[in-house]
Amino acid sequence: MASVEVEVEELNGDDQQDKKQKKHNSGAADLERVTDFQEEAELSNAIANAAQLFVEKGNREAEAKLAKEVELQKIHIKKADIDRIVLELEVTTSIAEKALRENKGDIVEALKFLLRD
Amino acid sequence: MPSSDPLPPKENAIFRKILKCYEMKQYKNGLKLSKQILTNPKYTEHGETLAMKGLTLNCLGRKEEAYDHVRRGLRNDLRSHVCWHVYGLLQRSDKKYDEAIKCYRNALKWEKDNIQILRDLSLLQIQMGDLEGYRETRHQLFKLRPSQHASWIGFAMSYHLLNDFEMANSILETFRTSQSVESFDYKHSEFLLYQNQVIQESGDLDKAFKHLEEHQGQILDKIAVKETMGKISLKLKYFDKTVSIFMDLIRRNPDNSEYFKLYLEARQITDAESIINFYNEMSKEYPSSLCVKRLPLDVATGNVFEELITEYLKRNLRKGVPPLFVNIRSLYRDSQKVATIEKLTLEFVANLNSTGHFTKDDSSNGIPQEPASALLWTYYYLAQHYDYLKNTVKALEYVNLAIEHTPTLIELFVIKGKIYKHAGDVEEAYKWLDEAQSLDTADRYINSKCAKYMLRANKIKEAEEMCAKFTRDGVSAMENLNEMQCMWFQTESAMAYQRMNQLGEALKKCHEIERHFSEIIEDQFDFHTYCVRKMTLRSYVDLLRLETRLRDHPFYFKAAKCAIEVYIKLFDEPLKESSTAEEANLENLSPAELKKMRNKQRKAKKKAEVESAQAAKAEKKKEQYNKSKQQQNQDNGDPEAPLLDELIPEKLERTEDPLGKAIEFLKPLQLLSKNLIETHLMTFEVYSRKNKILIMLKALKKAYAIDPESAALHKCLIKFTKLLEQTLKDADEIMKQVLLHEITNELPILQKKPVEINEDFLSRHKHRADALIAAAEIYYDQSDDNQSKAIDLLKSAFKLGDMSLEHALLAYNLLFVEGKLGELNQEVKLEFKKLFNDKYPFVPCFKLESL
Repeated sequence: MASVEVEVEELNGDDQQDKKQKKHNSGAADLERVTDFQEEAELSNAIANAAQLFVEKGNREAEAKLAKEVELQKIHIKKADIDRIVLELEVTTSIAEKALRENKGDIVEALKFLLRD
Repeated sequence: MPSSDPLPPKENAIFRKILKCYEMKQYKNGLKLSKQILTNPKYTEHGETLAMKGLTLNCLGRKEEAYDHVRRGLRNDLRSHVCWHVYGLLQRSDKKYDEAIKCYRNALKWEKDNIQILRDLSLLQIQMGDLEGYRETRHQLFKLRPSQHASWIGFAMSYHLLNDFEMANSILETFRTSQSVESFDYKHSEFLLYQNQVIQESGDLDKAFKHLEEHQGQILDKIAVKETMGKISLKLKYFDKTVSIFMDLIRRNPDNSEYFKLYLEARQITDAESIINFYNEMSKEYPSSLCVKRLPLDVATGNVFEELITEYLKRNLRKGVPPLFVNIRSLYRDSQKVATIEKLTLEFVANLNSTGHFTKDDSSNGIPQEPASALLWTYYYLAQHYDYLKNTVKALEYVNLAIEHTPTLIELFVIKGKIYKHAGDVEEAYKWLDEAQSLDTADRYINSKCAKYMLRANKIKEAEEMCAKFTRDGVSAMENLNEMQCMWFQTESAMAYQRMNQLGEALKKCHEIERHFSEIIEDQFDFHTYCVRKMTLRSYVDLLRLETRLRDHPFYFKAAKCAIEVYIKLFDEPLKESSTAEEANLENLSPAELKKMRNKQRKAKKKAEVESAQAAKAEKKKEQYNKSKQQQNQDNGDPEAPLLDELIPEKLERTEDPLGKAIEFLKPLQLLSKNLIETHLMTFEVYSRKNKILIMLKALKKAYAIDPESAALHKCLIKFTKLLEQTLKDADEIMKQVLLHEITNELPILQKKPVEINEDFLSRHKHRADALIAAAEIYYDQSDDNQSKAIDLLKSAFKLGDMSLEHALLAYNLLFVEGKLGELNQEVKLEFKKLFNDKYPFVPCFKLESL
């Protein structure tokens, strides 16, 4: 795997030559040399076990979210209704679709719903 | 997963070095190394190396070559996560975040557990405010690297941002117990304060208090601990604890008014006398504290107030404290106090003039005479006092006395300008500010103030020249001010251009401001990694929350409002093509006139030539400057962000879709400034031109919820009821159902007839000038027969106490500028002229000769 985390190796850059020029601007020059590279601090292994608990909770949440979306997808909606909502309220298709689904495909209710929030 | 197109060991080692060079910003070395691989005939088309070379080129500012290489690399190796990742990074550097996210997702398809890609993805998600997505990615990272600090912090924060405080805290708590703390561990201290913030936000204050108590030894920001503990314990009604905490804080800083306020709250002292006594005692302990002298003035009344304020005024006038008026302005809410202050200061003036003491008692008590400047500062105070009370004549009288006394004090000229500004004469106002400025040209504050007053008087060129004294040499001031994101200047310029009907220029300024806001949001990118690494999480979360509501800033609101108004105007009266307008005129001219015009044109052409030569010179200079700037950027290894389209006024004012542009400015307001009624009224205006009746209705609903009695809203309601009648006739079943439901349940006022609504409104607000003016306009709009009724309404507005200069200008526009009350006969005109001029003699357009 060509990971970006590889061992440190010294390389002499040729960007040293203009160091003198930047004397007055040393703050900015220092900032330029800052990289995003950082050695990761490692925690003890004991904590890794505690982590498992949170991982599982995260998993469960993801599942619940998926289940709700599947439920919503089952509702039948008409393309024409989506277009009508987009035309009347100038919202995005996804908002129109969501409003329709959450109101069981009833366009009047969906419009009222969108006028409320 | 192994690379789909692996290199042999030697080349692979070089490839790894390229990656390293990229990370360490050693781009030139990186290029050399990639050349080593690519010159090998076997690997000239090696995808990943090409991609990395492209990425490195991009960092050196060679954008086109970069895209070339990266795209070629990707084509050669579509199944490489490196190529996709690099393409994503390239898009990111061009701020195409949506595209970048797609690329990262593709990369993850080939390498779903790549930490680096997941990290980059999480950065973009937080930058875009996709909090759900951010949590999923952080979850993923947490699963893969539970042994790293950043995994825990990022995971906890993703829950915190979604307001799941319980989960966030339990992650943080588990993390905390695993930490071994060294002494003076700043990161740990910040961590604890962050955890405490999370607990506080969860609402469990008891827990937050205990948490602080338990860990305060490890927290280095002692003041933050004390202040937070004090505030929490006050909310929990642990009064004894609170009292001792705030006493302690007052000892540390006896000039923080907040400490005193919360201390008194904890002591549960509410009656004025005890509060004054408390401050009295405190002033013995802290004689140099200003708080203990100023704060009792808020609660004292009657004789006690008079006694205290006398001392306070004397002390400050003797010392010559310029912001004295601002310091006690909040007392002016109480008319009794205003009267006392006025009485005292007038006495001071009389006594200082006769004996040189503030009061008669002072002179009989043998107190030494006051310094000569005391009289000057008293005059200065009185000028501000009368200006605040809108008594322009008296205010000018005192400021002139002060100037006579000491003709070199800058503050006096500033106040004189301000008095004229408040009286409605912007021209005279700026002249006095110019005078003030000339007394100290090295003072940047006064320079800026003067420029602002010039802009109010539509003197944009003069204002630019004024600012040029402090902007960089060699660049036009306008450009430099834009570069420095000097937004007060730009908003004021935009509004000045709008007033002068130079709409393109106004739009240019508005768009410039809009770009500043985009840039500020861009700039948060660096903080996503930095803050987590440095553990400055409290400030980081504050920053994230600030960025999501950034455009609720008044500067944005002003710019957006100006832009929307201009675009609406351009929709209503589109500009003609400049050339066709001229030709149309030519057709109906006599030969003599034609000759005259040709002469004129020839002269104009000559003039234009000279000007364009000058402009070309300036252009050249500008180009050179831009070039040198680009050069500079490249030297710094930071190529300029993608070049935005140049904003050209002529193009902006001839846009094909003015309403669409207006909506772009409107959207952030709808999201962030929804508690301002103007937002919804502008929404109404824009969408009424697009005939979107439901959006108009929604805007009215929101405006109505904010202020059902607003005069501006009233006009919109009337407009809407008229439209509604027609719409209900033509509407289909769906529309009818929705509209009728909304009208009966949400805005029943719309069921009435327009005439009725107007009558009702008027009878409710007979005492409000703005209501009378709005009603008058509607009366005449309903029927020409109502002109005399409308005129009577306007006249009666002048008798009201709340008639202000803004109202007068509104009425003036209605009558004389927009002509919305129809043709007026000479007698009525004269009558109004007198009314306007009597009430506001300083406003230039109200002067009798100018009408």
